[in-house]
Amino acid sequence: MSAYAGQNWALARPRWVSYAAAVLIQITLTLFLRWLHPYFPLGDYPAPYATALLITVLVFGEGPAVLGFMLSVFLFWYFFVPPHRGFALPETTAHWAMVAAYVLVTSSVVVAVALLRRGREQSERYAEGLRQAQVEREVTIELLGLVNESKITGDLVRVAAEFYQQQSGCEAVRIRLRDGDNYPYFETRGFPVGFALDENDICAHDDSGNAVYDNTGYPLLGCMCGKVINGWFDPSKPFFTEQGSFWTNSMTELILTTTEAEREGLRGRCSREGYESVALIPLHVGDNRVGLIQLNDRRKDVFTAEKIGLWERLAHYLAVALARLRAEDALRGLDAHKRLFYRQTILAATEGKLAISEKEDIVEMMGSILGEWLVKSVDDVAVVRIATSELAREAGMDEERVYDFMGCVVESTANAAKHANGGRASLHKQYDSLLFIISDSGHGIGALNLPDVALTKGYTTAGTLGMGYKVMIKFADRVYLATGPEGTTVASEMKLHAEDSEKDSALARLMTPALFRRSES
Amino acid sequence: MNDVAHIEIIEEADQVTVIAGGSLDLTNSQEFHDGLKNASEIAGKVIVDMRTSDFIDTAIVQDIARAGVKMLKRNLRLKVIAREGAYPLRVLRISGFETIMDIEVEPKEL
Repeated sequence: MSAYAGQNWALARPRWVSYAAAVLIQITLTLFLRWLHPYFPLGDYPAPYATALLITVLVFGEGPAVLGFMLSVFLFWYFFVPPHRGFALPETTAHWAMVAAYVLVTSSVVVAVALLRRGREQSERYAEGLRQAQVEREVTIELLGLVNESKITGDLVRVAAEFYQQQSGCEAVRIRLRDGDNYPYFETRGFPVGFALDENDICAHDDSGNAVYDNTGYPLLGCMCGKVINGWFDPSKPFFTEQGSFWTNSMTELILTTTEAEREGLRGRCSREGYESVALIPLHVGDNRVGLIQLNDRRKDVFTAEKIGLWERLAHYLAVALARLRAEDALRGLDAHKRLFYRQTILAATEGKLAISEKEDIVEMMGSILGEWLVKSVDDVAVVRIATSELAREAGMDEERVYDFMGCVVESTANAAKHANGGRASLHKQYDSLLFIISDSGHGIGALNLPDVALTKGYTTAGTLGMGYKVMIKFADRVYLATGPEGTTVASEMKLHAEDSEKDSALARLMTPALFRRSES
Repeated sequence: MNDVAHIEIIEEADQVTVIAGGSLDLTNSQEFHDGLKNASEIAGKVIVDMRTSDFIDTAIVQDIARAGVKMLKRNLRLKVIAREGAYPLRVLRISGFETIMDIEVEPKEL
């Protein structure tokens, strides 16, 4: 059995076993040396005891070794220092030297090995610390990667719940986020349906069912989730961390070992559902109470303090990202209002010719495809122009209208090539018209710039003439523009024949209010 | 329709005529761009003849507008000749550049 295996054996047992083993080793060794002494006086030398103490300090540690050392001094003195079988003082200098040599050798061995053992334990702790830091770094990078890939709150909450479920190994995870005064679940994984519904509202309610507010106007959050979210916790209680997380490895034990007052806020729903390991980790950014992560498992002892600490640190990154995305969501909401206003204004100003749309609406309008091109640079503009003009003629478009259509094709394609590093172009046949679509992955046109880009002669964001959209609006029967941070899609619709175009224009002028309503819906 | 650009620059004494024919866009108009730019800086009279042009894009309109502005600064006016009803004339009219250049319209052939 190696020293490590012996250490593990000793560590797995109560501490008194190590002390008893140290005593037993000394007694056994003494009996053996006494039996051997008439034939071979090995006991007169410190070496056997020094070896026994070396093993003791290696396997059982310093405490048992010190006990063994003290016992061995008396055993050696009693049995091997003349006169034997007594504690009388040595009579000769040689006997004094015998005792001194014994004490010096054995104590030196104990101290030296104890120091070695401490050094090794420190190295192991350091190595373990490095390993844990590496694990934490990798886990943090993984979470930050997910954060970076998520563009909207819903996506981030979903991947974060999946991440925490994988990291914790818990069967159920859910994430609450602030919504007005309440903190409903935005993502629930692994919980029974009824359980999720019962626990959704965490506001305290009066007898009439109305939410109760404190004297500062904040809603009272009447459960343990609410306490953790609000930061109302007592760090002296063993089930709270210093950062305000609640966690237990056994709800049953927690309920049995605490008073109702001590565990105030626990509704007992998790316990009744059979969940033993429960952790509630707050999502805070300063005073901004973003929400909460809940981890539940029916097994006991799923968590450790180290894991909870790591998840708290990760929760901080997550909370910052969620706060940012929620702020962006709010801005997007404002942006959507602006876009609706501009949409209606631009539609009216262009007599129904320029419709600010959604990309999905444009995709829905596509008829059969006549051609498709990948635009990588401005050199491809001519390729697309020549190909679409031939296809337009083949489709039967009036000759004069072909040139008007080319104006739309060239301007929209050149915009994508110049301002968005190109895109995908396609030509579609509708009942009595052609639809040319170009989509790019540029930064889009900001809502505030839309009216100028579309309507103001000479307005440009890129130092060019800024006439492209004006040309399209002038010559196309209708232009659909879908733009946002993920890119821009422009569709130019051109009737094959002039008479159809005139009818369409007249109808558009009459139907403009109806187009408004369609845009709103 | 002629999908290819035909560009010719004719210098006669102090007059430069830039002939733009066929279909011109930003990919095939470098000669037009350079010729018109140089002419607008030095020539006493500059004419852009687009009677044989079927199509121009706004990059060409931009070249014409810049040349017109340069000529105005030299107290001269750029002259543009275009075919009535043709796409180039209609694009020029959207731009509203009639105020800074003389646009001569050649009637449609009967």
